[in-house]
Parts: sequence; structure tokens; C-alpha cells
Amino acid sequence: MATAEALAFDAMLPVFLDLPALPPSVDLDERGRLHLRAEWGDFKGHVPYVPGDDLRFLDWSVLARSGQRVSRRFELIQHRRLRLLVDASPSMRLREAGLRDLLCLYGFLALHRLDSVELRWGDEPEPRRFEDSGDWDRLRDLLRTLPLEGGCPEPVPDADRSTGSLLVSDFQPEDEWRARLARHREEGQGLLCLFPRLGFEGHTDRPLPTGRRDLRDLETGKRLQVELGSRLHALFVEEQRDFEHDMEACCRDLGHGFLAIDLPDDEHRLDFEAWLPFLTRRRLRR
Amino acid sequence: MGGLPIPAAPAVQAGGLELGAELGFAAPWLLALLLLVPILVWLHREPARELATDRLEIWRRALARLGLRRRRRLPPSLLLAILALVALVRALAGAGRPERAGPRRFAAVLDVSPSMAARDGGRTRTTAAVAASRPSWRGSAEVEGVLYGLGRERVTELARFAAARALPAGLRADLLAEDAAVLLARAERARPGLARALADQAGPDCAVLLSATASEPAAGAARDDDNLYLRGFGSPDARSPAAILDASFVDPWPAAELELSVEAARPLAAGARLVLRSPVQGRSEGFAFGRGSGDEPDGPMLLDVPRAFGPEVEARLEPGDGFVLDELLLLEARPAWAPTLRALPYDDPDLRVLTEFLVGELGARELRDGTGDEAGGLELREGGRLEAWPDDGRVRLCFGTLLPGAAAEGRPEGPLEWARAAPLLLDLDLSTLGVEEAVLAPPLDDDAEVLVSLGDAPFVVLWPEHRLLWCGSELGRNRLASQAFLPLLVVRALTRLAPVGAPGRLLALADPEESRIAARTPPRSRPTPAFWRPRRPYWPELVAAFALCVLLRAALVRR
Repeated sequence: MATAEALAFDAMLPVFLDLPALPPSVDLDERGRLHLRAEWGDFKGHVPYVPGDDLRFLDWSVLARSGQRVSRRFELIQHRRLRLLVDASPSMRLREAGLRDLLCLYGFLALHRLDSVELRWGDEPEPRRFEDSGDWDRLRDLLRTLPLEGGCPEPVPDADRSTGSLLVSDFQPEDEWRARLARHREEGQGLLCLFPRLGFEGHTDRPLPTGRRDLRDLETGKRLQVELGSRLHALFVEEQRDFEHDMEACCRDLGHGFLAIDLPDDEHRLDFEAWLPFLTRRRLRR
Repeated sequence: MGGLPIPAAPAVQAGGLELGAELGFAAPWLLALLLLVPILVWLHREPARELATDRLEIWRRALARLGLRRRRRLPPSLLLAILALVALVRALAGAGRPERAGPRRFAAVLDVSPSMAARDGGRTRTTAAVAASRPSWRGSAEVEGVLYGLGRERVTELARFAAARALPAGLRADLLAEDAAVLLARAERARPGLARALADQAGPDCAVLLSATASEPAAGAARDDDNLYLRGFGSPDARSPAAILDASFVDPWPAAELELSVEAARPLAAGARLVLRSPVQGRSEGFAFGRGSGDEPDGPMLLDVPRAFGPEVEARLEPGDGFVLDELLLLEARPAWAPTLRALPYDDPDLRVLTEFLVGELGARELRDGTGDEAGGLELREGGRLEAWPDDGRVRLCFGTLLPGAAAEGRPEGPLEWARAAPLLLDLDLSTLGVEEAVLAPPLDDDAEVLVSLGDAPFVVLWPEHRLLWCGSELGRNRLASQAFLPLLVVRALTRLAPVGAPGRLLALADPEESRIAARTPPRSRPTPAFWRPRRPYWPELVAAFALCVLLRAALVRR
């Protein structure tokens, strides 16, 4: 059952169609240590350069020879299908509200801007596929209601190079995730790992409860008693940044991308600008 | 002793239970309220509220970096609450410094005899006594006391005791306490007597502190169980400086130097010197001990002092002197005698050689006419007759002169006999003199000393009563003028006949007993007592602390 806040958010989603914004998975070519030329495909000719186009596709030789700005056209390897891998482990409940909004945003944009969406929720064996914008309501209902009590999906990239895989997780426990990502190193292409970060996890000026606290891990049930204060919070933020840097380096080694972006807090949840960091500014050619 | 102003005892305050040396409580049962502290802690307890997380490992790493600082601290608000409660309970229980038993008054009696001006290690014993007694009255503001013998606020003027030696009774009004009785214990027996009487009169509630020289234990002034406390001073070991116990002059006139004999309290080390300072002449000079110091180490030390140094000098032993302030020598040696000299008859050639010798030797001024005679002058006379014993104070050397009462007729006969044991004839060669003609001497009294006899008649006589050296032969006869012993005999006789001064002595330490007790080993001093101290409540400070804690906690909670 969608809440009022969820309905309000979903009502805001069409605003994003007015923007050249897409899920960041479409940029996968530009991330990691992939071989771009192979990713781009075979050369198919030139098209007029439009301001805003990726300068890497500007044909410098034509420009030098004739002064004309043209972009090289390849047999496109554009991720026209969003492959959404969602970590549905219980630990994700901590960021559930923002997570579901984010997934809805990605699903909405993929159905309206890309060709299709493939949703792999937790450790479900079979993916769910949504082909066009007509499936939005069904996708939205699922994203709003599927329980966060499953497991983690295996980040197996799709063999189809036109598929961009987006893995949303908290990447905890860290060691398990490293091992999980490393298992698919050879197959890895076009996988973007996204960690939706809560505000206090990345900034010391975001509110955090103080005093004696009994920290309980939602996934393992382990507990840890701490005296929350500014000093401990600062150390936690430093450790969190170290974790993100390590994960970014790890993913780079494996040919993946990694992003850690702050989820908007409740106050800015319906502010579309607060969601722009999760998107890439890009216009796809059809 | 009845008039001594011993201060009255302060009023006694009620005491309570003593817990430790510095803290006591009037109502200790109220301390049970401190049991509220655990309740206070329980009321401030903060249960750990659960907080879900998916990053437990990261929290754990941050906590590990926090290290020791992860230890739970007492919340400031709880700490202030506990402090406020403790302060309030202690104030209610009547916390305070307990009363300390002990004498409530004291009377410090200071020996100001000359021996206390001795220096044991640099400062005088008086200075040391005041310094040692100072904590007794400065550290006990509640204890009232009086100081006998020295001003309480005039300690810095102690050095001026050096000048006090000239006062007859040791009274120095400017050194006395403004608010205390004036009683200077000068005499040795008066010191323990005063302290004993004061202690008996004041009673056990008053401590009498006696600082005196080392002789006091012999007086039995202090017992271990009474209220009289003795602090003895003396020379504690052999390294203490020596002191002059006695000094006297030997005057070998007309020699240019005096011979000073010094008796010290202990044998002087090699190289010791005596420094003499003449305040009148502004002259200071050191003299090394010479004769006598090596042969008899324990005997008097001898040294030669210029005659012109006097008449009054201060003496100081180097290195180290126990009586720097006290030695004052009167150098009352005979002055260099330079008399007027008259030879009668004036132009007698036989007198000329002896006259010129004495003028040169004594620095005498010869008179050649009847004017200028002075009392104490010197007269040489050959032949003639003295009609009566003169009373003009002159010293006379008479050769062949008839003295009053002597028979003009008759000549003495017989062999010459010399009184060889007489000091005036010591080591003189008398064998060349032969007498063929002489005059008779008058009848002699006991004062006259016969040096040479001719048969039964005196031939050379020293007559101190009449200040006269008489010889029965004129210089021109019997080859007397050419005798080698004549000038030595004349000079030696003049040393007996010339005006005599008093021998030099130590002036300040004329009391030998005072000098000797100053050099004794100090007795065991009895520690001064811990004085009475009244109970002092701490409730004003505790109430202030309580209020401060409450205000701080309120400000903290509000923030």
C-alpha cells in the first residue's frame, strides 16, 4: 500500500522527463577500465555535432580538415535497457523510504526514456521484465511493495552489451560483497554499484542521536553499545569514507563503477533537485 | 616576674567527631545523607536505546579508534549534582577543621648575652634563634604570645646587636617589642631563672621557649614533661670557628712592636691569622701567629703588633671566628717615650756621649738652659748633690751624685759584686769595670734594687720610687763612660723607670665564664610543641560550593 508520501513522490516523477536525465547506468561506458572502442562498436559514419554531445565523439580530423564539427557515429552500444539489481536484505530497511523512491525514479525514467527494465529483486531466481511505459504502474507497485527480507542478487552482468546493470545495495558485510563482486570479474562489464547513503553517514553536520545507544545490525542481529557523540560520529564518517574509497578502488579493479550518493532527507524528498545527483545528464539518440 | 604580661587564653569552642587530622564533623550522623548519592546516580541513569544500523562493522572500527575515550564518562550534570549534594551534606553535618590540642600561649625568651652573638656557620646565634622560633608564633595566628628580649617585627635589626655590646645592661629600646614586656635576660643565671619562673607562673597552657647558649642544661631549666622548651646554641663540632677567650699584651719597650698573646677556644689551624682593625685610624691589618704557636699547640698564640696600631682595636680570627662582634682589645701599651733631656752640668764632656746616645735612641729633645723642663722628662747628672728627693716626676740617671741622706765623707772599699740574676744585668759583660773611687749611697729602703755592690756599700742602685738610677762613680772616673754595658744598662733601667701604661686586655669578653660557655657543644634541643588551634567550620565555603554547582548544572541543563 503506497503511502501519501510515496504518492506525492510518484506524482513528481514526470518533472524529470523535462530534464536530460537518465539513470547513471547509461554512462557505464565511461566508467571503469573498459575498452571504450570495443564498447562503442563499429564506425557507422558522421552526424552533425550538437552542443552537449560527448566531445569524445567529435571527429577532430574532420574538424581540422574542413572546420566542420561532426560526431562520429558508431553502431551504438547504448544501454537501452535498465537492469536493476536490488539488494533486498533486511539491512536495507534502514534506508527503505529513500530506496524505494530512488528505484521508482530509475524505473520511471527507464520505461519512458529507455526500452525496458529488468528488475532482479534480491535473490529471486528469475528477473521481472517491463517493456514500455505501459508497465509503469505494475513496476511502481512492485517497487513500493516488494519486501526487504530476501537476499542479495548475484551481480552477473548481462551478456547483452546494450544492457546497463545497476546494483543498489549497502554493500554490507563488506567482505562478502567484495568476494561476490570478484566472482564475476571476468564477466564484468557495464555494472554500476550504487550505495544510497544516509546523510549522517557522510557528513558530521547531519543530525545523529546522541547518548547511550544499543546499535543492532538489522541483518545479523549483532549488537554494539556505544556512547554516541560528536567525536564518535566524526570517526564513523571517516571510516565510512574509507569504506567508500576502498569499494571504489575494488570496483575499478573489477571493471565496475561505484557511486555513493546521499539520499535526500525527509525535508527535501519532494525536491526534484535533491535527486539529480543520482542521475546522469544525458540525452540518448534513438 | 609578677608583672609579665602573659596573654589571656582564648575561649574554648565545642569540638565534634574528628575524622582525620584536618576534618571533623559536628553532626556526623547527617553524613548518612550521602547515601542519596547512589539514588542520584540511579535517577540520572540513561537506558541505552536501540538504534538499527546496517554498518555495525564501521561503527566498531570507529569505536576502536576512539580507544580509551570510549570509556564512559560521568555526565557533567550528574557530576555537578553529586558535588552539590556532597557539599550540602557536609555543610549540614558541620564539617570543619577540628580543634588541635596544645599550648594556647607562648612566651619566647631570647638570650642576649654576648655569647649569643657568636657565629655558628655564618650567622649569629641570636639570628638563628629568632629564625628557629619564628614558626612558633608566625604559623599560629590563633596563638597569642610575647617575646622577651627582642622585638617581634625588628628581626632584621639583629645585626645591630654588635653595637649593643657597648651598652651596660644590654637594653636596646629600639629592638624591643612594641606590645610586649621589656625584659632582657643579661646575666647568665637570670636566663634559666626567668624562663623557669615564667613557665611556672604561666601554667601548662603556656609554652615558654628559651633560646640560649649551651650552658643552660646545666641549670636544669627544662624538663621533658613541663612547658619549658629549650633550644641550645653552641659550637656543634670541631669545624666550628674558634673564638678568642683571652688576649693580653707584653710590652717590650722601647721595642717598636708589642707582643700579643692570644688564647683561643680551640687550637688554631695552620695559617690562622689575627686581623686587627683600628676604628680610630681606619686601619686594618692581618698578622700571622708566630712564636709559641708551634711549640705549644694548646698554649697561647703569640704575634707582634706594631706599637702605633693602638690605642683601641677590634680583633678577628681568620679563618672563622666565633666572636666577630665581640672582640675589642684595648691596646694600652706604653707610647713611644720621647722625653726632654737635660744633662747637668750642661757642658760636662763626660756626659756628652751618653746624652747624644739617649737623644738618638729615645728621640729625646735636649734642653741646654733652665727653661722647658717638663714633668716626666729625663735628667742626667754627674757629681753634685741632691739636697732633697725631688717630686717633679723626672727620671734621673745620677753618676757620682750625693743623694739626700748620704754621708759626704768616707769612701767605700772592697771588691765589686754584681747581682747577676737581676734581669737588668742579664748577658752584660761586667768584667772590665774596676772601681778605685766612689761616693757613698744613702740608706736604702725596700723599693731600691741594688745591682752592684762595692764591698758592703751599694754602688749601682735602681730606685723606682724616686725614678732613679744611681751609680757611685762619675762617668769620667774609673773609665765608667767607656764601659760597653753602660748604654744597655741605661736603656734597660729606663724601661723600668719610664711612665708605665696598663696592660692590654680583651674588653668585651672580660667575663671568662661567658667566653667558655660560648664554645661548648650545644645540648639536645627539645622540639617546640604544636600549638593549640581552634576549630574552624567550613560551612561558608561548602554552601558557596553547593550554590555554584546548582547554578552550573542549571545552566548546563538549559543549554
